[in-house]
Amino acid sequence: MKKLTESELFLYLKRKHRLDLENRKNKKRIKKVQKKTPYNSNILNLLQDNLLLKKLKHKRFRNVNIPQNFSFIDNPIDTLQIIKQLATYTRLPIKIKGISINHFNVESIDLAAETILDLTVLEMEKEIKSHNRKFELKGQYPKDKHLKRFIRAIGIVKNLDIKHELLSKDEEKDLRIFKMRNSKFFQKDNIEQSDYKENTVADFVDHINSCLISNGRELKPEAKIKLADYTGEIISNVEDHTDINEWSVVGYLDNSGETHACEITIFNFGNTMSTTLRNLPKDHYTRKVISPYIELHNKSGWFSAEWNENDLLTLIALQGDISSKNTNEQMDRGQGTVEMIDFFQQMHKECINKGKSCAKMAILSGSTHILFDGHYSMSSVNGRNVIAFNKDNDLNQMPDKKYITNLGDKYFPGTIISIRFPLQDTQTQRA
Amino acid sequence: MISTEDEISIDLKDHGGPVYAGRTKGEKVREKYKLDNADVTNVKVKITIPENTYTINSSFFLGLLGESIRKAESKDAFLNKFCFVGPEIFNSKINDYISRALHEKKPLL
Repeated sequence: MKKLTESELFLYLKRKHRLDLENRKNKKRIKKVQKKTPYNSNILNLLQDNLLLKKLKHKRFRNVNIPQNFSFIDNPIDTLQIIKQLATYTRLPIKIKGISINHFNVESIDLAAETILDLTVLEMEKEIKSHNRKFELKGQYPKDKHLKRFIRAIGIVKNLDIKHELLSKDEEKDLRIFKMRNSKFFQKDNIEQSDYKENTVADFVDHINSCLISNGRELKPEAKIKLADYTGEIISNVEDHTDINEWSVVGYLDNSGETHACEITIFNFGNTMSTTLRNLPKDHYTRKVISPYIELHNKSGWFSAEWNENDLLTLIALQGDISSKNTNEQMDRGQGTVEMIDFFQQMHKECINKGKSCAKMAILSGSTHILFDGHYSMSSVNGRNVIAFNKDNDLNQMPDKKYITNLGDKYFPGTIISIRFPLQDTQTQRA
Repeated sequence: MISTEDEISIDLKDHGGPVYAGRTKGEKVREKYKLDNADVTNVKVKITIPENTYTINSSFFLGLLGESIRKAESKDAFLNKFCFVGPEIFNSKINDYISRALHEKKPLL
């Protein structure tokens, strides 16, 4: 593949300039509004936990100990607990003055967990400061030097622009981060130009590619298409189904090792996957398609505290051709999750070719956590893409509870998709 | 847009790029070129994909052409009326999207 031509580079820079300009204008507008009314964070409202509200002691300064494994992929319950706890502090009657976030015992961390922690802290800071109160933020780095570098590069340190703690250029050169948050832009009516979502996807792909170019490699055209498809479909899905237009795309690539460790997380706040399906009227086409499945689980007595209707609806939402937007059998929606699973499966397959399998993906929507590690795959059953998470890939059977877990009273008000994989040589070529 | 009585020409570069995503946008482009009318006449449709395209997401593609594919009832009939000009790398994607639009939806169970 050729390097970017002059015209491609020009278009890329132009797009970037436009996005920066839109972001700057937006920030100015927000500041103006903030001066008038104190900020009330919708994200904190969604994340706060009413049960914790009753349990938490009323302290002005809080110490938060991050768990050893801070990951939405591998340890969703403890990870979500920390995030919800933080959000709830701001909803206690007592006025919080500050927090100390202790990463000292952390041994593994994932991008989604750290990004959502940061977002929560930033929202806390913004809300508290809008009431003209001070907010003190302290913290302790992990012992592991790689994790410390990760936190310094992506964590609160970076977001709060704590200058003396930022990575030096030399330290930063192998670690590349892409962050794009949308809470303002809706799909444009102007079809002559790319919208914010399309520009974000293009910038994201350019970003990953430029990281590789600095290491003498670049994405193959096929891998470029896959990456753009994956991110584009997920964000389109979010835009189509959410009641709140609040989504983030974060990518991270570590070029320092022999393999390029890559993580991508896309999350949004608002309707969960199950809520979207549950809210359909009884006579809706998709409701009729999924009803026999709910009926089967009901009659078979499979529903329990560990497996409820929301878990089932989240599983159904992953199946091909299932979409709340389909109103008759002629419609072709319901491919977004298929694209996403297909992307993961291809990444996973290429990892196995290298003798080991380290690609993982998780979806957390509401209280349902679904883990993908290649053990169960999506395949075509009677022309429909199906992933049933059981040995026979049969939706008539119960899914494996190791892979679909109900988190009990831990609830994320939206959906997090988190994927971790090493970029393989087969996906890249010499620049 | 260059359109004659016999041909409608859609150049995707007139609609942003290098990423084309979103059902709504696909549907709006469809409206702009009045493809519903084109489906019931003998007009041919030429779609040009720019060389620097990263992807055409299924959501955009099916928003733009899903109805036309279903009205054509077969892949051959569709490709007889709609022709695509652009990088070959997208051929398999386009074939896949056409199959998706045509495939018969079976019950979940």
